[in-house]
Amino acid sequence: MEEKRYWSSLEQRSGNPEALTNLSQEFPGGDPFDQAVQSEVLRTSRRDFLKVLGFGIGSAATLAACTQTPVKYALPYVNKPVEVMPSIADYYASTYYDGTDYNSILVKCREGRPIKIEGNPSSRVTPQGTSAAAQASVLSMYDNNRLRKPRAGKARKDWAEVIGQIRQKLGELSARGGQIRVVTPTVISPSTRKLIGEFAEKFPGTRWVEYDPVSYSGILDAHQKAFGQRVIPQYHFDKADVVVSFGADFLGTWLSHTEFTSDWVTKRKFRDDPSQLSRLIVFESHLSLTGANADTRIPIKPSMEGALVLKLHDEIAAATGGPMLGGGGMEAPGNYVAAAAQELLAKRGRSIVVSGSNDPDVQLAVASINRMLGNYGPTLDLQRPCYLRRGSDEAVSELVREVESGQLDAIIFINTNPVYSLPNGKGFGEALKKIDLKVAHVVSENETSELCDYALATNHYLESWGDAEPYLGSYSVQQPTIRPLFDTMQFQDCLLRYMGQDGTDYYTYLRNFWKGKLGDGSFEETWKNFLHEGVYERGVGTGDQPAFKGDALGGVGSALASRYTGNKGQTEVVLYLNSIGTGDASDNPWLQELPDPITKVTWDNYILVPLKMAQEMGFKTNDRAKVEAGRYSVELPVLVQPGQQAETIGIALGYGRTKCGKAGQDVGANAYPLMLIDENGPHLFNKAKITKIEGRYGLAISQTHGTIMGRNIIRETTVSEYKPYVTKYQEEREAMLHHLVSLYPPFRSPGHHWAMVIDLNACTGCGACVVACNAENNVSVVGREEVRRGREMHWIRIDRYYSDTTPENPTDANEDPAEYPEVVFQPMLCQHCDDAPCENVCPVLATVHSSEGLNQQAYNRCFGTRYCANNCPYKVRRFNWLDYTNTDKFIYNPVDDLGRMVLNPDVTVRARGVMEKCSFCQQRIQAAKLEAKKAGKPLADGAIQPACAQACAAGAIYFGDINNADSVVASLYPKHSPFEYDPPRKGYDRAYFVIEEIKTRPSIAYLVKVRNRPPVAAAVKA
Amino acid sequence: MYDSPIRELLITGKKTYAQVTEDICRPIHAKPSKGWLFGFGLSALVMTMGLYFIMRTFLFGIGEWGLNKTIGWAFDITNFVFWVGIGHAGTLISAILLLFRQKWRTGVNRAAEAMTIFAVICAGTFPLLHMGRPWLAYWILPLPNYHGPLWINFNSPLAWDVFAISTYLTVSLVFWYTGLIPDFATVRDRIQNKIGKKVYTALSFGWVGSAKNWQRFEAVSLILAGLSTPLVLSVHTIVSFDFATSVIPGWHTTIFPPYFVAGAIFSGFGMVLTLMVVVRKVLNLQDYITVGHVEAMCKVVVATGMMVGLAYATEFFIAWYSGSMYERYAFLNRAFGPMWWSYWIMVSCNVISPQLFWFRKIRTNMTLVFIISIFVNIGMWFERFVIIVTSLHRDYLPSSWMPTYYPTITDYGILVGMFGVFFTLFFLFCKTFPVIAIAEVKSIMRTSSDTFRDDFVPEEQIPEKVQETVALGVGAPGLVAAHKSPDEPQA
Repeated sequence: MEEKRYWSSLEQRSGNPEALTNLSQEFPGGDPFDQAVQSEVLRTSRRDFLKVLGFGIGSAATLAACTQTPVKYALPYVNKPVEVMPSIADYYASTYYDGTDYNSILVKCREGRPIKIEGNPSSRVTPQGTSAAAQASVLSMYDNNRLRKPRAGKARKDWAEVIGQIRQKLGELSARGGQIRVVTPTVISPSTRKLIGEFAEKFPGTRWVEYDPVSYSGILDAHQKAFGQRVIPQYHFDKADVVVSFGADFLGTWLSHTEFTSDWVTKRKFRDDPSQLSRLIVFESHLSLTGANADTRIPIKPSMEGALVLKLHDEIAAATGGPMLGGGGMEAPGNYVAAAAQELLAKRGRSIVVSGSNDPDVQLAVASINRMLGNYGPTLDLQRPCYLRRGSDEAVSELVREVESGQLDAIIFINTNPVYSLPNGKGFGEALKKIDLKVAHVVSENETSELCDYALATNHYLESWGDAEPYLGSYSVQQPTIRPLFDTMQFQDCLLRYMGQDGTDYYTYLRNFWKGKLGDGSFEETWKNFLHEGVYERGVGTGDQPAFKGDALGGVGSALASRYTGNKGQTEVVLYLNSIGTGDASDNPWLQELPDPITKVTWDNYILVPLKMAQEMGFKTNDRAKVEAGRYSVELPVLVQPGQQAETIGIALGYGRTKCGKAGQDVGANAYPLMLIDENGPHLFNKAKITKIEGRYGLAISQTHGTIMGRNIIRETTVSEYKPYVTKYQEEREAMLHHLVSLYPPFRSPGHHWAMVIDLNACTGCGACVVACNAENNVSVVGREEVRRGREMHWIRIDRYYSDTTPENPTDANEDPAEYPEVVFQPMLCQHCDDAPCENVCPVLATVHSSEGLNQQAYNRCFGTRYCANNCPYKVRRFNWLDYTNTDKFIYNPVDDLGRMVLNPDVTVRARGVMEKCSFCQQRIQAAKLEAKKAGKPLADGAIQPACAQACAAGAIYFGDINNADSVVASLYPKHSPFEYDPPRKGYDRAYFVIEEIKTRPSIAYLVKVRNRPPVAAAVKA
Repeated sequence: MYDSPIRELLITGKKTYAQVTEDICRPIHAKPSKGWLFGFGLSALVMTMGLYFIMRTFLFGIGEWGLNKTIGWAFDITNFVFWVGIGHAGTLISAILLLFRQKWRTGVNRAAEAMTIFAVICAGTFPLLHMGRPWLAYWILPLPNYHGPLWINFNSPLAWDVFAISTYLTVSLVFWYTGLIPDFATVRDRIQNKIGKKVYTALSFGWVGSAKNWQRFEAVSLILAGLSTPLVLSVHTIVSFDFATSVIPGWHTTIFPPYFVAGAIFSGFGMVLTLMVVVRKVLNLQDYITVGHVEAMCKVVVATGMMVGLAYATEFFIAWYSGSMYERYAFLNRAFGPMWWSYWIMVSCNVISPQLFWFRKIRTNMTLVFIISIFVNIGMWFERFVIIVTSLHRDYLPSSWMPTYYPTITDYGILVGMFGVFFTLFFLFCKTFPVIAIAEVKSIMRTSSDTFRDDFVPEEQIPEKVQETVALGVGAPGLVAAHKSPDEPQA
């Protein structure tokens, strides 16, 4: 049988010999490679080859030397995580609590990294906005200074080894009955409280000390004495018609100030009738944010506070038939205490008296006043007490005694820094040497951890699990939003391991803790809901307030009268907090560059010197002085400060860190040691001596001129004058608009026309919007030197003006502020003028108007003539004078790879030499428009919130479309002007534009500030 | 030929044509003098320092200067306007005075025009220097591009500046060069150096001095003079629009165009005086740039100085009359605010110091003229500084006010360095170009009679009638001394 043949081509089948020969060869017609080698081109001689080689290498080297293009690898996801959608932000509910301020928050994450903190609207406690510190907290996670691995002695060690050593030592210690102390700030996490309790059970010699650097022990102890509960009541500033504060800066730094701001402003906002506005009377020494917002502010010395509270107490007691304490020996200048008493009595049950004092006797008297006024219940709630401060001065001084006497065997510091913040921190640090085992759980090394054997790298709160109970029955969750960036471990996990529970991590512990506590339904479901909402409210009884124990007041009167004498002629130093806080956030460049709300100073603390003292002692701002109090002295620059009580000076706490990251290291001086410590605990004031020393300093001040110069940039009136004031203003405006003529047709915005309304009555001037804008818009941090030169980059700033409209100075056109001025805040940002002076002067059309009324800045097109900034009457444009984002010179800016992770990918990082400014958060407008388009619905009013509006706890900023007649801004906008294309509006009488008369036609309206005081402010004297 | 008994001679020293050529060309052929070497070396050194600071600005950014969020322009635009102003005298002398037949101008017009061009070059660097991203400067030109419909903004005064300055520079340069052609030919004919010969041959465009050459030369000069005349007025008018069209109190002023032009002529003559007083001495040209020339220019200075003074007063009046509180404050702040010193330097240098030129003794004392001309230069620099900085540092919102302007070393370095650039160019000019227009000077010489000087009538013999005319100011000497053509019939 013939072998079956398979052919593979027609040639093969044909049997043509030539074709067959070709077939046998891989390359018919000769090997092309051979041919190539034989060709003229490649027949190169050795010499030619070397020549070419030499030239090639030479030119390659030259080219390589000319360019410095770094190689960057972009790593795409091989398997994309389900929850991460590139360019779409995820939001996780969490909780911010730094020991001073509580915020329930949403964390915005992009591509898996948290980049922005926003308020959690589901929260009952802080439903609106956040504090500046909360906004800035995201940056501290990307801090290069963070501890990346546990440290034992001087060496970096592995977790297993370190935990093993500590566990063994703790075991040995507790076996021989050793004394162990756990030092934490106030812990508001119920599960952590339970865990620390279990730890103390496991190691019997353990005692847990909660330590608040700025102590609230006085108010806690007073309530212990008076009501049998060591708690702070919940304050309802939204229900109070009269608030009298003795040095409690509840809008700025006191207790839960974000919450209080939201509450307080609800009684400061009004639509047409201002008669229902609440009244705020503040007795204080240094000009605080609360004092700046007060209707009446009475400067007092801290050593008068107790006596004045006593006077107020007896005035009220006399009227209500309450217990007299024998006060009345002292009255504030102008008899303001008696006047305040009358106002309080008229608003019984609708008022609050609050004191920032840490003296339990003062707080007892205050509690008694509130009780006599019937405020417990309506405005002060002990049924729902506040857990935000728990520290006890007694426990802390006991701890200090134990450490100094060497009785302790082990001490564990958790996120706390007493070596820095204790008045005798240095001595405390020395004494720590006597303790065998010193462990510090810290995010980054501080003055205390430096002295410890073990510094254990803790997760940043955005990397941690947790929970919080700021008020009884109000819960909030803390979720990690990113995997720990470094080799860090939550301290709760460490505690579990010390206890030998290696199998359980804190997450499991937390879940177990919450089992059965989250209401009806399966745990998984309720847990998921808890995580999703971030908050959970448990019903709490609304029964009667606990009874006041009358005998608690025994001896208070005489004690206060003898202790608070006013020390006539004696200078006193007042220690206060600003946005930096107690010192933990000192390393945060955003907070350091945020101007102090009152002084507008950045990057330093300083001595506030009253005007009179400055005149008498020859002080000028930037002189240097030495302040001595007790056994300690501090040398700082001087800032002459209006509003500072004439016999006091002020210094901010939280500065002068000596072991800190680059932003906070050696900024200013530590003022904690100046505190007065007596048998009633530490107090934020002391007798002091101030002397001038050699040298000058340059404070970096963002606003150097304080007064309004009689200009109508700010419009303000009082409650009783409100109606005639706005009527007159509207008439004047009508006449003014009549005079303005335009050669150009009105600007047309047929679709949306974005606009903003800012309520000057609501803005407290805190500056949270500034930090929020920093975070949202990648605004550069430029450092002290550049701010000193007037080059801060903030797109939004809070202008602070001192005004003085007393009969002696009716026009308020003075260059220099009065001794005790009134204060007004005005957030100032790009006004998005429809006839923008900046737009027509740009030679290259880098700044143009959008069809939606936005004044847009095209960074790519800008070549930096700065004509626009010069021609901006609001001076809101910011120029990149130097290469802020790319050089080592500006170390405070997030310029390293770690820091850059905080940048918002939706916003361009601006290069050197270009102008930038507020964009009304254009990226947010665009995102919301896209959402609406996808949903096929018209854009809802309020769907767009610029970062500033969103961060504002006071809700002072409204944003929306004035072409939408139903929008909030349209209802709050000034009356239609003849130059507008927009549909006619009736207009809100209270709204005005800043310098409208030069016809810039801004898109931001301000609402007239209305103070709740008699038309003519009485001249306040110290 | 009539020889006016009261008219001073425009060229003294009984020069012949050959002597004129010899005197003016001498510095070109001779070895550089020690004085020239010293001056040139010093200027070049200062220029190098300036270039160092310019390099720093380019490398690190505008942050090298003392500017801030409130004061976006300071030394940069002050220098720009200052140098543009300096650049006004040259064209005014050569164009407007040509049209007015002021023959005395021939002694100084060449140097003044050179000064104009160098000043405009100095001025032109500042708009480039002050940019945040100067490498993109070409975006200011209306070039076709691939950016889609994006072009320049014709509403922006900065775009107008570009056209104004570049036109001015071009026309001035052409005018100057045209005037140089016959003189280059003179140098070409005299020079021995081979390379020099080639260079000057090329520069002189084949000039042979034929009647046709001269006819065309005269025609072109006249046309260019006609073209330049409106430019003298337009350039500074447009520069003033940078400020006048803005909304900043102190800038937003309709008086600016005439005020700036008067100021520019004032400062231009100030600088011409500074240079001429030195040049005539150093290059030994006292016979060509006579005391009469200096006096004439002093008179221009005092006249324009008073115009400027009037403008200052008018500004204050209008600020008060406007009723605008911002406007009023801006001017009060200028005079009595934290930067009062700059305002009073300006007023004393620009308004008070030129008043000394009312005195003949001072006008004819070269040392004093030199000193006062320096004051004028300082005052005019401060005028621009006052307008720019004191208006910006306190505008509408007091929250953004800055206490004052703190210049940095780079600010000073560039300010001084630009004088280095200017003088380096001027020294090069003195060495290589005929400093005086040889051909034009020859046209005003009295050479018809070797003994014309003998006809000189001493002053005391001047008929009374003529003296009266002088006293009345009609045909005041100096300014219009050479007004009447010698060809005019005897009165």
